[in-house]
Amino acid sequence: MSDEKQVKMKILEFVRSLNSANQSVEVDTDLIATGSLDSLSVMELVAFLTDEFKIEIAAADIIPINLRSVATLTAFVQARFS
Amino acid sequence: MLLHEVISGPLVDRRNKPAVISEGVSISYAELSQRACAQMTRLQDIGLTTGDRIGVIARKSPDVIAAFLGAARAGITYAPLDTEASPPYWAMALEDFKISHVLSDIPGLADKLDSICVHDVTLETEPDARAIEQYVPIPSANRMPHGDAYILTTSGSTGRPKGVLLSHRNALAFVDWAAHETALGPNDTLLSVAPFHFDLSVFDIYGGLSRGARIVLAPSTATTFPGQLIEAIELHRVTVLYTVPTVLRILLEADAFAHGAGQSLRSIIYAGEPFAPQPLAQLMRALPNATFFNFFGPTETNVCLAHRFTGPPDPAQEIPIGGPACGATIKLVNDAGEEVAKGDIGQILVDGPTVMKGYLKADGFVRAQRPYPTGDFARQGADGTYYFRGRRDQQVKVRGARVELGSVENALLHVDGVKEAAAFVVGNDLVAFVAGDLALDTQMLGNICTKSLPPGAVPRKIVALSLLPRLSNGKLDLAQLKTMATERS
Repeated sequence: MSDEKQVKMKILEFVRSLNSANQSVEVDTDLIATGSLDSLSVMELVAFLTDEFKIEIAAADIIPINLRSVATLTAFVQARFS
Repeated sequence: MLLHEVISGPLVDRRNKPAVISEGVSISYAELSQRACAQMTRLQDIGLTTGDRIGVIARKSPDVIAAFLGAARAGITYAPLDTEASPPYWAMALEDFKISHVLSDIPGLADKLDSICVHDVTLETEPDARAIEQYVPIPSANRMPHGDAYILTTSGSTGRPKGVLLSHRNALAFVDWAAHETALGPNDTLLSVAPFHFDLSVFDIYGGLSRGARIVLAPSTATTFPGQLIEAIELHRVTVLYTVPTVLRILLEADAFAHGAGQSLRSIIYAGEPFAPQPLAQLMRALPNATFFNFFGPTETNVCLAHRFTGPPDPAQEIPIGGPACGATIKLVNDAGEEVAKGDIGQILVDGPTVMKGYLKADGFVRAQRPYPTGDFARQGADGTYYFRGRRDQQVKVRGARVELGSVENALLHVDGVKEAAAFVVGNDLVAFVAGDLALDTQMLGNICTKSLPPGAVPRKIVALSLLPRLSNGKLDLAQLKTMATERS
């Protein structure tokens, strides 16, 4: 599960599933600037990452810099594997 | 006293102490006063005078607070609008409130608002240092405590914004009461989370400034990213937090108070919606040094009832909204307007110094009814404490039976694991949404409703989510919930 491409695809798929307006999200889409994330979807996303990749996410890590795009989310998850 | 005069005391005692902290920059009381003076001069330079109005569509900043103070001092009424709203919404509100000048930090706003003069809220030149010395109240017959201070907006049932016009006296009656109730002082640091178009910010700004405290402006994204909130709380050793239950729930959900974080908090105040007993008790356990308050009241009356918790709520009991606040007189009445017997449910009627002047609507000013009917229902317990029982627009008919949506939500909120609940009618059916623990069993919830509610009040469908969708002011996004209910039925 530490294959980066696979992680990226799983996150992308989940972010797109968050709401119907997110269909066009790509790996580098700015999720914050485009308003793709709100408090509801951020907590859903955190729950997904925790369950899917069996990682722990501290409150202090739930900040824009980590959640800005599928790419930053992938890097964030990858860093927790190593 | 007028609103801008709240800083007169701190301006003497705490002149060079921090007043507002934003994005790592701290502004002292002297600097804030200076900027307020410069803002006042600017407003007068663009031709505004006592009795005029100014719109403010800008993200939180010390300059916005200075503009509020400067406007108040010049006798100009300010109207902060939701920065997340759309240009057509702003245009409608500005038209109805008869506003032709706006202070903003949104690039290109002028192109989106025809016939409105848009000015950059931030002043290009630093204010003249001598300006501060001129910061003394100018006596004027037109600037009396009952004069207009600011306009907040509520969404009317038609979708057209309604302006709630409040006076200096309205605001200060609340500010003085709230600062006293929470024992605010110069050693306090408030975290301003609520946007400025939302009335919780009146406490943050004027409560904080009146007592010489520090006001930390949370980043606009902080309610979405709990990491930013807890970082601000820790970094600035925040002592007082006034927010909506959703924000507190998100902090809990993210386990933000783990490892001793947040222990500087000594007062937590929530308002805007009911807080389920379970997460509230959980929060109280996480922050044992904090005193918890529930402030209650619509924008039209600001806070009219308040409760100070002496311990975690009993999950088997209703959560109290306390007793009269801000010098308000409270009455519970039936549909005929007669006072109900003690213990019976009635609509909350409020009279007192915080009741608004009236509404600004498309067709003009409508003076507030006194006492003001809130549309909220409550019951008074034997000890005099009031308990919230839902809203008037939450009384619905389902297949002929009258159902109090609040009672359905209450039944669900008292189930272990349920942290949020919302009930409403879709078509002919009662639908409920719940949020809380991941594995909420909706069938089990249905069974509990069957046991605790009259048959007509049992939801036909219960949907579990991880969090309920919210609007930018933290209130439930009913429109989105209704769409979801239709999609899922």
